[in-house]
Order: sequence, then structure tokens, then C-alpha cells
Amino acid sequence: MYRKSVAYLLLATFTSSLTLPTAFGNDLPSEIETARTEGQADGAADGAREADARGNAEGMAAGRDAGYKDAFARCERQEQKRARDNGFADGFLRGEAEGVELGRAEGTAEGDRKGFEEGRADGMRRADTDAKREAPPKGSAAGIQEANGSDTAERAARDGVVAGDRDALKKAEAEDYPFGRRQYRDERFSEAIEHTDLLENLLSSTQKQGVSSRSFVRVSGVSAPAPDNRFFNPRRQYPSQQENLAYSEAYALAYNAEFRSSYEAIFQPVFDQARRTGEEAGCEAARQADYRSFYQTGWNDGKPKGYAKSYRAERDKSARAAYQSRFQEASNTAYQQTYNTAYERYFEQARSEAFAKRVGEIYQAAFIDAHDRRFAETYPGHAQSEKERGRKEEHEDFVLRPVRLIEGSVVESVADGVYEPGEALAVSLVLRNFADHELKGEDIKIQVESLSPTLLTLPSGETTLSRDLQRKSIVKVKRGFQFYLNESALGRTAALRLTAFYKGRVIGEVSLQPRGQYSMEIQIVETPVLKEGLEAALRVKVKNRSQLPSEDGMRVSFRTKSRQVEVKNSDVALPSFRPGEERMVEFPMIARTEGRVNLAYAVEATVGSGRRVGILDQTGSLPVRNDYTIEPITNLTELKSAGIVRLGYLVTNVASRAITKTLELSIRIESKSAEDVFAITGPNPQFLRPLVYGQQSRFVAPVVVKSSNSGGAVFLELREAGRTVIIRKFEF
Amino acid sequence: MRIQSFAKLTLSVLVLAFASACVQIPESYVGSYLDPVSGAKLSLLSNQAELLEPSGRKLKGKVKALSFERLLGGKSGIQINNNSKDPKKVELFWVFPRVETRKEAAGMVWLEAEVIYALLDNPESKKASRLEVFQCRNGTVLLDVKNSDWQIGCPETASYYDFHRIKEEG
Repeated sequence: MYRKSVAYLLLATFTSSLTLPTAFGNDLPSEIETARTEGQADGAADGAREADARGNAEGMAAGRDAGYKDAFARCERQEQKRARDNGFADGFLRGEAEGVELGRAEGTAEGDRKGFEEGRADGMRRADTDAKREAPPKGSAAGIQEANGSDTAERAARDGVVAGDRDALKKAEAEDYPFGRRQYRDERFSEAIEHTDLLENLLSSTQKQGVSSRSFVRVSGVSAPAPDNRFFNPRRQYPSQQENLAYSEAYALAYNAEFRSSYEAIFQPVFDQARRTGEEAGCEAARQADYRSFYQTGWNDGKPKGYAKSYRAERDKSARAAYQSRFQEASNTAYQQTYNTAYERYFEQARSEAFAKRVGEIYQAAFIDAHDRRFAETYPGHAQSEKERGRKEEHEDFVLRPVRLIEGSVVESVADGVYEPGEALAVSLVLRNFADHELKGEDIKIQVESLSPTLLTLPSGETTLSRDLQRKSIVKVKRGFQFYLNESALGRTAALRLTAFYKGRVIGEVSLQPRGQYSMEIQIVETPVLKEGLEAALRVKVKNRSQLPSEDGMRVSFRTKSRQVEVKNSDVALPSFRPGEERMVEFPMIARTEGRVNLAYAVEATVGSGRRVGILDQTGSLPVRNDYTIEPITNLTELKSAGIVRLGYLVTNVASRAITKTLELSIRIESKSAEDVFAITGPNPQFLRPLVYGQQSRFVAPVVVKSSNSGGAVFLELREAGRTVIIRKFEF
Repeated sequence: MRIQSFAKLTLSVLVLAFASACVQIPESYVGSYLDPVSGAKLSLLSNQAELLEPSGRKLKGKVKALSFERLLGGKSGIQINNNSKDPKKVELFWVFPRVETRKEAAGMVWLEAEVIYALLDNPESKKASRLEVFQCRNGTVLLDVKNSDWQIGCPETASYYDFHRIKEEG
């Protein structure tokens, strides 16, 4: 990513430095113009030839491969599921039978064992409960008497003195030492500033080459198939070098452009066709595969489930019966065996707890008294000495680090309040010299580090200060480091860390977090309900969110590769508008399909230099709703042969609730060639009987085809009471 | 007794057969109507209709089934038939073809005609109080001879009337 960005950067720098010879300016001699025209024609022809060759071959290969893989995967999944389901059913039945048999045997054994164990546990529990109620009062009384006769109070007083002294010192270190440092530091910062210097930048010449101020770099590329130039053959020769150069350049540009535009048009239909073929082969191959392992997996899965279903019920039933007969006998025996032991245990426990509690009470009272008296005696002395130590060490720190990084911020090259991708941005910073003598710039190193390498490009991140610092001075560096945000930073916050060093010691660190945005915010205001053959409009709102007026003539463009819609005017120029203002832009479009349009599109705002200043990417499905549908019911390829064709059609009222309204059908046929090949015989438009909602009507229009032809398009337009309700286009 | 029943049954069948063969304007639409905006008037009887245009021009016609053959012959008449999609709706085509404009090509015949069209809604239920009609003098009758199919219609410049009932029929 970083390499790619640098490559774009260098390309942008190189491109901006190109200057065309004078002969290619506005005042072109006609010979050069001719050479260029011929270069365009030759290049376009050769580029189209490569597109044709590669588009067919690559579309076929890619389509077949994609279709095969997708269909194979889909059908393979179906077969796998079927095998697993069969295995599961068989395994389930087998597991169920095994569960009944084993559950019965194990349940009986388990019930007998458990009845004995739980009966025994019940007897022990009853013995324990009785002993716990009877032994503790006597044990506690014995423990308290023992504690009252011990030396606990003397021991606690000695411990309290030691702890009081220790706590006083700890408090002084924690509070008075930092107070002393802070006090000294504040004194230094409130000293008078004798000089304020302004540095434009502190960069080396190498870093300056990366990004110039007030500039934008190209940060995104269009991925399109690149020509391999197999038919690249600029073949004409001209008397002058300028003509040859004009021819060559025009040839190369046209070759590339024609290849790119033709390739996709050829590739996609071939791809789609080959994909269907590939799908059939892929599915068939998937069905022939071996799925025994999936059957086994299903079997393995089903068997334990069947087993679990029967085993547990049978086992529980058998266990309950065996349990009942063993429990009571075991309980009584256990009670008699365990009571005395339990009594002794509870007596000792109560005695030791009462002893410890009483000792604690005696110790705590004596300790607190001794601790607090000692703390009060020693704290003032500790506090004073710690504060002085803090001031002394802060002073020593100022001697070692007499200059500090006070502030850091991001500065734009276009001060509009918006950090745009590609905009040259810079880190500004403020340094302060607290020393009463000059400091050498070479001892001060400034470092900036990108914490978001995918979001921003920082050509260089380290340099030394280019000039010395005067005593007691502040230095403001206006453009310390230059960088720019990548397009991936749109709507996200990038992070940089600015760190300054003096003789290798850190003298300050600042975190910077610029958020990437375009100056123009583009939002959809109204998603159109499209009508086939009729004009609808996609409305977007363009808002200037920068602090500067927008550039006059900014273009807002609608881009899509879909052929399901025809956009009438995809490029709109806007006059300048003020910060915070909005402008509405409409893109009229006509659906060229029925049902729904699956549309991936982008609305992009660009300024005169071609720089993008806003974009909205959308993918969605838009409904296409007409009041009527029209379908041809004649094979339209008949129109390619000379003769009379009875062009049948079917009109259906699918949505109109209007009744008693006239209906007119107009037929227009366009030939691919310029010749006038078709003539409608009889009335055109045809006046049709009105149709109620859901009703259909079919009829025919004779067409005279004057000569054989390579095809064209039939346009059927239906008007209801003078209102066009659908225009359908059928190519043949 | 049996003979009487048989006679009644036979009579009923004959009446039904006659009624289905005989085209009539539905009873619920029989009456007089006025378009309050244009002043046009329309009178409907069970077997005939009369339209008085705002200009004073009067059109009269008898209900007569417009078979494909009659249309092909350029005959005028009033055609009434159930809508193919919604049996509760009845279409009324009143056509005056101009025979001299008859043309033919590629299995299609067409004539210019004066056309009056109305869609009668739910004629079996109750007396209709309103009736929408369009009329044009420059309509067409299109006949697909090969499929015995037809279209009768008007251009968008047709006159529209919104008739309101003005008089109860006895």
C-alpha cells in the first residue's frame, strides 16, 4: 500500500512537471493535426482489435471457470447434505436400540450404588447437624477465656509505632515530592519569554520533494484491464519529427482508450454465456463425486442422538427402583458411626474462632493508638524534605532538558476546515527554550510517526531543527512535517504521534488525530421509482461542508456501468456556493428493463483540475413500475429478412386504474444501418380498445421490410389519454 | 301435470336462449343523462341510444351486435359485451365506420370511424347514476383478418363526457 501510494505520488509529480512542446499548443499546423488524426484512427483500430481478441478469449475462459466453480460448489453442497441426511436417519435408529439395552443394565447398577451412597450421606448429615447445634456454645466460652490471658496488647503497641513512621514517609513521597516538582516547573513556565521565532518549516530538502504545499496528489487509481499491446503498431512515417511525435502520441492514447472501452463491452456477454455452460458442467461433475464420507458423518452424528434419546429414559426408570430399596438402611448405620467425631470437630472450631476474634479486638485498639501518635510526630519533617527533593530534581531535569515541546497540531494547505484525501497537510509545533543561553538546533530532533499507515502517507518522519534557539524563547514551526490522508481515511480518524528530543532525551509528545473527509457531502434525496422507457430522476443533495466557497464550475457526475438504465445527463456543473450551503442535482434516467434494476453507481464531485472533492457509492435495487407492459409476440429476427412481417404484440394493463381512457400504440423501428429499411403499413399509431386493470389485448401491425438487414431496434410506445405510460425497446 | 312441467321447462330454455342471443343495454343503465359541463345529453333505451352533442348534432343508433363480419363490411352498430377480465364490467362500443376509407394490406383491414365508448360498471346491481363516455369522429376500426381480431379506438383528442342521470325511466 505504501509503495503504491509513493508510486502515485511520483507519477503525480512527474506528470505535473511535463510540459508539451510549443508546436502542440493551441496554434497547431495542419500537418501535425493530420498526423495526430491518423494516429488516433490507427491506434483506435489496433486497440479495438486487441480488445476483440482478448475480450472473447478471456471472457470465455473466465466465464466458464467462474460458472463451473460456482455451480460445482452449489451442487456439491446439495449432494453432501443429502448424503448426510440419509446417514443421520440410519445412525439414529441404530443408536436408539443400543440405548434401551445398555440403559437398563446401567440404571439398575447405578440406582443400587447411589441408594447406598446417598443413604450413607444422609445419616452423616443428620449426625453433623445435631453435633453442630450442641458443641459450639461450649467451645466459644473456652476460647475467650484463653485470649484474655495472652500478651496481645504489648505486641500491638510496638507494631503501631513502626507503622506510623513508615506511613508518614510514604505520604510525603506520594504527595509532597510531586508537589515540589510541579511547583518548580510552574515557576519556570511563568518566566518571561524574551524571543518568539517563526519557522516556516524544519524539513530537509529530501522531504520537501515528497509533497509541496497547497497541493493535492492522486490517491486512487482506476482498475481497468491493461492492453498487452499485441497489435501495437504505429506504422506511419512523416517528414518532420513533430509530425511523427504527434502521430505516436495520438496512436498510443487511442490504442489504450479504445482497448479499454471495447474490452468490457465484448468481455461481459461472452463471460455470461460461458458462465452458463460452465455451470452445467460444474453441477454434473459435482453429482458424480463420492459422498460416502458425508453419509458416514451423518451416521456418526445421528447414532449418538438416537442413543441419547432412549438410553436416558430407560436408565432413569431402572435406577429409581434400585435406589428406593437401599437408601434408609445405609442412612441409619452412618448416623451411629459418625456423631461423636462431628461433636469434637465443632467444639474445637468454635474455641479457636472465639480466641482469634478476641485477640484481634485487643490488638487493633492498641495498634491504632500507637500508630496515630507516631504519624503526627514525624510527618511534617518528612513533608518538607520530600518537597525540597522534588524541586531539586525538577531543576536538574530542566538542566538536562531545557527545551520542551509545548504544542502540536495539523495544518491544512487549503484552510477550509476539511482534511481531504490527497490534500497536503502538515504538522505544526511549538518549542520553548527555558535556558538562559542559546541552544543548538542540531541537538533538537523532531520525530513524527504514523500510527495509521493504511490511512495516511508520511514521506519522512524525522528531522533536526534547522536553526538554533535563542535564550528564553518560543519557536513556532508552521509546517513541520508534510503528509496526506489516503482515500481509505474517508470517514475515519487517522493517528500520528509527534515526539521531540533534546540530545536524545524526550522533551515532549503529542498525539494528533485528523479525520478524513471530502469538502462536499453527497446524499441521496430521493430514490426514483423508475419507469421503463420513461424519464425519472435521481436527486442528490451536495453540501459544502468546508469553510470556503466551492469552486465555480464544480462538476457533479453520475457513473454506472449498468446498461439497465440510460442516464440522460450524467454530468452537471454547479456555480460556486458558500460554506454550509446545499445544492440539489438531478440525474434524469430511463429504465431499459422491467421489474427491478440492480444498480451499482457512484455520484462524484470534481473540480476543474480533475481532483475529486466528494463521492457517494451506492449499490441497490430500484423498482421499475409502469402502468402497462408491452411484449412482442412475433420473432423479431424476421425483421432482418426482406418481405412483410406481421408484428404481433401483447399489451397488459398491470397497474392503471383509469377507465374509459383512450389508448394509442406507436411503433418505430430503427435500423442499425442508416438506410430506411422499414415501413409500418396501416395506421400508426394504432388506436386500441381501453383495458381495465389486469386485462390484456393482443394485435398486429404489418411491417414492410424493404431489404435484408443486420438488425435494429423496435420501439413500442403506449399512451393512455395522451400520457405516455411505457416505451419499450426490443433489439433484434 | 308432467306435461305442464315439461312445457314450462321448454319455455324457460327458449326464453334464456333468446335472451342470451339478444344484445341489450343493461336495465340499470337505461335512462337519460346530462353532462353538466358540456351540455351533452345521452339517452339509453334497452335496444337503442341517442347522443346529443353540445353543438346540437344528434346521433342515433340501434343496439346490434357488431360481429367481426359486420365490422369487416363497414356496418355501424352498438356492440355490448362483457369485459374479458372483469365480468362485472360491460363494454359498449358504438361505431359509425366510413366505408369509403376502407383499406387493406398484409392481412389487415382498417377504416376510419366515429367511435363512442363507455364502460358500464357492475350493471347488475343498481341503477347507475353516472356514466363516463369518450367520443371521437376520427377513430379507427382495425381488423386482423387472419386472426379474426379487432381493435376499435380513439386518439387522445377524443371528447370526454361525464354524464349524470337526469330522468327515471318508467
